[in-house]
Amino acid sequence: MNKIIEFLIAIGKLKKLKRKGIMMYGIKNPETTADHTFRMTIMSWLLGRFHHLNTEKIIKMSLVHDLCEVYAGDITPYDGILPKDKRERFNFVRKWPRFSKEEKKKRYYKKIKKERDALEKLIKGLPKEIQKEIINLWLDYEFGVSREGRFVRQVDRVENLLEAFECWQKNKKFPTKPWWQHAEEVVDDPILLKFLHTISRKEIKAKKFRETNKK
Amino acid sequence: MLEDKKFYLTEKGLIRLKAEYQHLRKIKSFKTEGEVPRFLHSEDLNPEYLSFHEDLDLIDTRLAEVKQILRNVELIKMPSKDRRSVINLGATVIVEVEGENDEFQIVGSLEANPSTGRISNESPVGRALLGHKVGDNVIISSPLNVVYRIKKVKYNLS
Repeated sequence: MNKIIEFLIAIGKLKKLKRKGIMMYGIKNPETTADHTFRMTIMSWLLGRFHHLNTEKIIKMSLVHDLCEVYAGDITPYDGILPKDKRERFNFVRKWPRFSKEEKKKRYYKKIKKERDALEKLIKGLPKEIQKEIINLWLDYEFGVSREGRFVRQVDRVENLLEAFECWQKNKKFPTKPWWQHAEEVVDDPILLKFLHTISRKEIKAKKFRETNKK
Repeated sequence: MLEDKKFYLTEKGLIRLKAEYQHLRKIKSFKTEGEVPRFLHSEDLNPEYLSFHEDLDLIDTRLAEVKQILRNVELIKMPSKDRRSVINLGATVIVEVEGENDEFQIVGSLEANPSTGRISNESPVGRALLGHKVGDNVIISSPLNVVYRIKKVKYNLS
């Protein structure tokens, strides 16, 4: 039981781990990894029903997808390439970072290695069958092996976009552009595309309303 | 529904999937006989899905899924010479977006992983790029319009 308590205390850190991808836009009190996981799990459950996916699997997969952040931290696509100059950095994060195919692969497998090591360290005290289940679910999510894995991986990006949209609603200087650019390359699930389309319409409507009021 | 869906795969993807199917079948038969398959320790096997093979329920679910895919698979083929300047499934594309170069291969949903440069033909960006050629500007309109200027199209499917 001690090992389980240790594990639970360790993952409790995710309740305080602020999302780096939101903080880099100057948001002082961003959501935490646990906040993101909570809503993403609900989203996977609600939206996954339309495809008759294995609900238990997608709920568990969503719950474990970011556990590795306890030790690996929140790795963003901007890590290692951010300009030192504050002004340059400000402009840099307003665009989705672009790489060659080779560079993308290199960065991805480096991230995967770091996260896998972190996840194994985190769960090593748990019963063997639970360890296996967590690793399998995480691998399925990362590599999109099953229908559930491919779906949950996309829900992750859609939840990020929803969070960015909410930040923009609160502060119109918050850039949603990089989030949209990423989502439109990642999402191909029809239900999630419909979800994106609905958010897009809300954003366009709010912008039009704002412009009309300015005049 | 999944039953009617066509699955587009590159040749490499199809070979990998067929190999996975054979491995899963072997593991299943070993497991039902209660033996530990020796080839599980082979270095040729992808370690990423090694542990995936240890649960019989997972094996069965995955076997059914792979079987369904193989039944409805459509191989992504190299287009004829005169069509190679046009973006089709399988094309690797270099685009310029807001002054930066980016590179993707357009693949079917099963092989898509934008983190490694493979985007789905059913994603908004993948879908919009199809049918275009070098010099075209493709506008992806979400709440903000983003222009993808096509700089290079190549096919490397072997």
